[in-house]
Amino acid sequence: MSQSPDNPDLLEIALGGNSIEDLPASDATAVRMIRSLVETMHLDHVDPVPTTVISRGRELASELPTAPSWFDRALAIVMAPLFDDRPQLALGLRGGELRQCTFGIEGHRLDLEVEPLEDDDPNSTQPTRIRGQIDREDPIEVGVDIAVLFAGTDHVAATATTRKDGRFNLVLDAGEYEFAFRHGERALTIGRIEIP
Amino acid sequence: MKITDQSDAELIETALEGSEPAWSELVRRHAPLIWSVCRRCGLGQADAEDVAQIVFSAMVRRLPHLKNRSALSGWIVMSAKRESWRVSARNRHRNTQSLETAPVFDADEPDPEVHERQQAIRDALHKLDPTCRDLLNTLFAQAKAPAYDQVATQLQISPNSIGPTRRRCLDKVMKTLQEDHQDLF
Repeated sequence: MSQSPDNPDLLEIALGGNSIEDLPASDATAVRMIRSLVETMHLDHVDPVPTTVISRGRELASELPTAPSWFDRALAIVMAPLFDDRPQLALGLRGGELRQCTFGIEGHRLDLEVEPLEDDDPNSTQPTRIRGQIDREDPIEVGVDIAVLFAGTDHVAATATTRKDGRFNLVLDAGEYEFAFRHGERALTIGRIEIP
Repeated sequence: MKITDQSDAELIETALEGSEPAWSELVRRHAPLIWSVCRRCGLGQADAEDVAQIVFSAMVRRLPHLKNRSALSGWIVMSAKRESWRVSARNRHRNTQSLETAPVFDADEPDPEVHERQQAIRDALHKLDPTCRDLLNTLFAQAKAPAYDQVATQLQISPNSIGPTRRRCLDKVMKTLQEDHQDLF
């Protein structure tokens, strides 16, 4: 707050109830803030919220509804692995170098490129970049929503939406995930994947 | 990030994952707002407590459907006012008056943004360190400010430090208000 022989302390002006008409705009705002501050503290002091209001409100935690699940695992179509450029088809998208794999089912095809990102910090875990493309026999006119969920949960680790050509990018830390693709009412998944 | 530093939107998202601490923080943060709306609408203590519980119950059901989670305070003000008016109308219809202590403020509301402004101040105060918060409360919460010697004894600080500390603490609050809520003042 400003204080000088030519500009009396704004706090004194605020508490003294002096007019603020002649003050510069910024000082007038500061005085209004101080007055509101004092008024609010005084209000909460003379008429505080009863503790029972807070305790009864907190008890409602048991009624918290959870957000709807991102996709219905029972109804989602599982895409089978069709191609893996590593010698061994595996559920893990292993790091080390660029890896390409393809999943598909019922006229849907998903191509993935998986590549660890370089990180100079030896103490940090190495994230993994995933570049993908979804292709369909029937061209997709609008974006496909993609969610990567922590495996077995409804907690979303990352999301993306495909671009016009069906491409998307994601970055993930090490962990076990489920990939889900949603387009309209249809959901596809490639199941549980481990990223080391 | 401490849960008390999270925004309303962040707390709502966490609460919807089943976090009781997140819900508790939402209740703590907004209880004074609901209370002040009810009392400013002319409700006695018992009616205000009932309205507060009704608003919290509505809030817990509405959380997944709130379109603008950052505007939770505005939704709360609207809900508390609507419910307070309903209770007031019911009381008038029954021609009963509360026998409790009258609310401290008038029912008329000439300043539509008063509740948002007060809530902004509460949020800014809550972000202060405990020393600043205690000092400002001690100096300004009561109608008559206590003498510095009394403040120094109560807070166990040097009387000479009160003036500079007061200025530093006020500057912190003002900075928060200017950064986040300049438009309300």
